[in-house]
Amino acid sequence: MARFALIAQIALRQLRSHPRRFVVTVTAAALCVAVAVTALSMIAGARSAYTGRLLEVGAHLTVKAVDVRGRRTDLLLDVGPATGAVELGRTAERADRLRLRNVMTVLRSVERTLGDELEAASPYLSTQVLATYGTNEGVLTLKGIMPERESRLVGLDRAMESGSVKRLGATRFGILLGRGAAVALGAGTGDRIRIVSMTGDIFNVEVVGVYDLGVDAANRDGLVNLRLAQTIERALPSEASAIALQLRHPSRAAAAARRIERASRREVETWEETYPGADSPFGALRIVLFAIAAIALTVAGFAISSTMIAATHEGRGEAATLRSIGMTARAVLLAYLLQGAVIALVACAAGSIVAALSMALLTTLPGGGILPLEGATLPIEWSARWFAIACAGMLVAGIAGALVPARSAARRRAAVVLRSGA
Amino acid sequence: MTTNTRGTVFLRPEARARHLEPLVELEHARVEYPADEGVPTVAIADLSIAVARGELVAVVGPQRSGRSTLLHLMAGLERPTSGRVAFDGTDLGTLPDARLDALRCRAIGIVHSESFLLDGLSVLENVMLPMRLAGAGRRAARERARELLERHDLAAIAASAPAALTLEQQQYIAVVRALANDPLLLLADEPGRHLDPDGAGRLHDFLGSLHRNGLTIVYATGDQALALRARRRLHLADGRIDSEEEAFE
Repeated sequence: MARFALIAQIALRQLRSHPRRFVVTVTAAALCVAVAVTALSMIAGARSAYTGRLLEVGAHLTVKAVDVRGRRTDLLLDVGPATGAVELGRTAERADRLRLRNVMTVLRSVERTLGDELEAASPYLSTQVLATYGTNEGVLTLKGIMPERESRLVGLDRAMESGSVKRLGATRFGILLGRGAAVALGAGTGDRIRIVSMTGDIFNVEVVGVYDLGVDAANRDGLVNLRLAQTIERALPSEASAIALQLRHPSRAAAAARRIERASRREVETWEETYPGADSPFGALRIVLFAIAAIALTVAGFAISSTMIAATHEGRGEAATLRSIGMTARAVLLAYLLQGAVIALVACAAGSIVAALSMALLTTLPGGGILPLEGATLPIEWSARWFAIACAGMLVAGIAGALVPARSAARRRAAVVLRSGA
Repeated sequence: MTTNTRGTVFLRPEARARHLEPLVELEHARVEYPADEGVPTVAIADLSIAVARGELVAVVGPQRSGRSTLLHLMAGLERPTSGRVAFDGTDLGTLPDARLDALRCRAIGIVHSESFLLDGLSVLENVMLPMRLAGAGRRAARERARELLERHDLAAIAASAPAALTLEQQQYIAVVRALANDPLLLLADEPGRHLDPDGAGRLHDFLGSLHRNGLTIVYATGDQALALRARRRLHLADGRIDSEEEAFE
């Protein structure tokens, strides 16, 4: 311990003997740390912002029409096209045509099971139609909802650009269009559009509002009353595609899903399973930002290495003297490694401060064009974890940068240096 | 046996060795350095000597005669290319580097032509260095260092920075630092080289006083006058002993 204290004293003394060089190296390394912290925070912030928005407007859990063993729970009653006779026993194999029967019974079971953990629940029926307005037409995904419940689920009231959710509840043949769908059709609030179901039924519906949920995928849909959707799909009044749930704590989604499955015997999908590609918009961004962070720390390591090369060269006489009075080669190595570590630690502290200031500035800048979220500012996740990771990387880079010159100094023959009078 | 004009008697080396116990022994030691052009440089060609306990030996010769290399061999700073170097009965060639460093720390003091005092440390802290390298605690090292400086009338400059001292003072401190761990052997490689003749003389008087207190000292010098202060003189040329003298008065 006494020897280590001496080695530390020698190392710090050598650093203090060249203050200008120390400051320049620390400054360079600190800037690299700041870049690394900011890049890591942006990666995490971007993902958090997008998934956070998804969780605001999307279901945390979806109770599906499949039992936990993967079998269909209910037969689909198909109506014959010519005679209108109901044909029993013909079932649809497509997953999207599976139905939850007695949906309100299932819903109440879910509410009992989750209790206070449940924030909102809304059954829905999905279907696809061909929508036409004037000369514009296109395939539209319709979601039949219960407006009050859906409003609580996704905050629909706050998302309305025009019209209102209340009008949907009051109008049997009303439709709310997502912003993307409205732009595609060229239709707005008050317009009437024609929709054709997959079975060929034609409906004229009135656009009672346009909403913007802030997520491109959600803005491409249309919302109608659950009863209208059941009519379009020729489903029974007690049927729905699934039940969307929102939890107070999305992080507990997996555990809640298992409880519902045990209670209702229905398969439950978490939001991560529903949106498996949630990370995909950030694949390239993440690679770029990770690369920036790694390059920054590597540059810092090289800066420290170059400083240590100068230090070991200038200090070769001193090192030889210390060797001649009994300092071991290992102690010389340790002294120089300590210098690298000290530079790295000081750079971590200074870099963290610079990073905090720069991140505070960056959060005021608009993030449009980077995220698929409209109106977002540049996302930054403030977390001690990113500071710790960047600082740990800096420490490794600092010691690694000092290693080669330190080993060279430790191996240098003292007698040669002393003889040359260096 | 030969006699000079002052009546000093010079014994042959074989006779001396029979009477004194060797502290350092070299047997056919050779030191070669690989050269860039392929022909190695021979610093020590073939040396066989013994330094007894309590001796004061001067190694004399011109530049590049092998004086410094000989001292480095004795200190374990150099390993011989061939041959054997033993200190206090231990073959230094068989010791790993760490044990060699420990031996040098505890048993051998070295003074160079430059003091090589560490800037940023006071005189007292410089003298403490070898003790702390040997594992002594800071307090114990400080007390012993103070005692050493007081013993040699250098306590007044204990708190000074090396840069504030004269060259002569720096060399005195370098000698005291070499005595920190009470070594068996003190090696001095031209300690007065950068001093004026009077200063060099005073420094060698200091070394003489240490020898009279029982310390074994080997010093290298290119100055014949300073060499005469030692009872035994080894004359080196081209890495070999050209002649050896010992005086009794």
